[in-house]
Amino acid sequence: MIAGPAFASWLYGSHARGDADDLSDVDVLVISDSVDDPIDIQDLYPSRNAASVTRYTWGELEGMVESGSLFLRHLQMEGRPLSESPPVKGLLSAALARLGHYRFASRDVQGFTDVLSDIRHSLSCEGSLVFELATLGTVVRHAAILGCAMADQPCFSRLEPVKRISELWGTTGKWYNDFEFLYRYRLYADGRLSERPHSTPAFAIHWCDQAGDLVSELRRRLCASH
Amino acid sequence: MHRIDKCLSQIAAIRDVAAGQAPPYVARSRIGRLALSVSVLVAEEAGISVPDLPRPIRVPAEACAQLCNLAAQCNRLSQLARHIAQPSEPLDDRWRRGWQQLLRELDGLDETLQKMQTPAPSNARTPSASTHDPAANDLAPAVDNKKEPSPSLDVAAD
Repeated sequence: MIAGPAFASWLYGSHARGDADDLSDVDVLVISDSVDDPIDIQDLYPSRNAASVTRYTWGELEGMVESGSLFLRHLQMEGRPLSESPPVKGLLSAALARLGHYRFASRDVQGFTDVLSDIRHSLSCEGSLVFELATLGTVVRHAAILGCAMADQPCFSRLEPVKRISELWGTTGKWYNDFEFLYRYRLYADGRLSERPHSTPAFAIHWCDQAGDLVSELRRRLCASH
Repeated sequence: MHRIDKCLSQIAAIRDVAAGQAPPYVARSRIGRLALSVSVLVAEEAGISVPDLPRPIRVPAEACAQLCNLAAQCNRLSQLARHIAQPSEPLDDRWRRGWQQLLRELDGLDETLQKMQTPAPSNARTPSASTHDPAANDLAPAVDNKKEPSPSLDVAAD
């Protein structure tokens, strides 16, 4: 099963936090010498059939540490080891302790802006409403996660980042209202929800505007912090 | 042809990401949108139900080789995107190598779509063994890692 000595696997996400629900998947990180290493997740986490596995190499990990990766921040906050081979035992924890300041916030904000522009364009060209709403849900959540991290209040759960950013920025309710419903499109697109939520173009346009406001505020705060 | 034009413009939008004209974060949704458009195209041509989300395309056994090729190319592209977009930052070889592969897949898809746009001559034959994509009838299986790739802000887990 586990071939090669230098691997670490950690559990993170809702199962690591202990707030998993029926819609949660099991998030597992595997770090090894090669992303093609034959590491069978069923051996690492046998109690679960469907794990969502993210794989990095040790080299990639170093790059992420230098850039202050938010994924590693996530791991630092709530991850826990599942299994670590002796040669690299404690290596991931040590790397997380060296995690620097996140360096790609500006690029992310530009990414959010471009994705929102793509969504608007697609909606105007008869794109799939379900797909665009799922994409909107992802962008809003990611923008909120970045906003929380910028405010030194990192938060990575499914819905909480949007609620928290609304509170942090004194806009209680503005982005959080209906976000749970919006995010159901993401869950449906990921196959975690079997029933397709009812969708209307007006709801999509409303959330394009909401997301646009969120990203604009994020950009403004980022500029101010510089 | 409108549908094919849409796919071609979506391919161009993904190439913009590879060329650095758009941030990596947009890659995943653009690839997903392209995969969906190709799925819709295939579904309409094959007379099967039209999807509203990008999923691995399954073409009917009686579908023509061109549609099989198209579906296989699109499935490979989607699977590759899941793999390469996972690294958070473009610092590593995986990202660079992955993009080269992805661009090659895009070229193949582009070529197939361009051929579909060109009316076939009346004596056209089905593709020969040399031009037929050997993977056409070996469609990429569904990927069990459901998480979307997130090239920049890699915090998709909830």
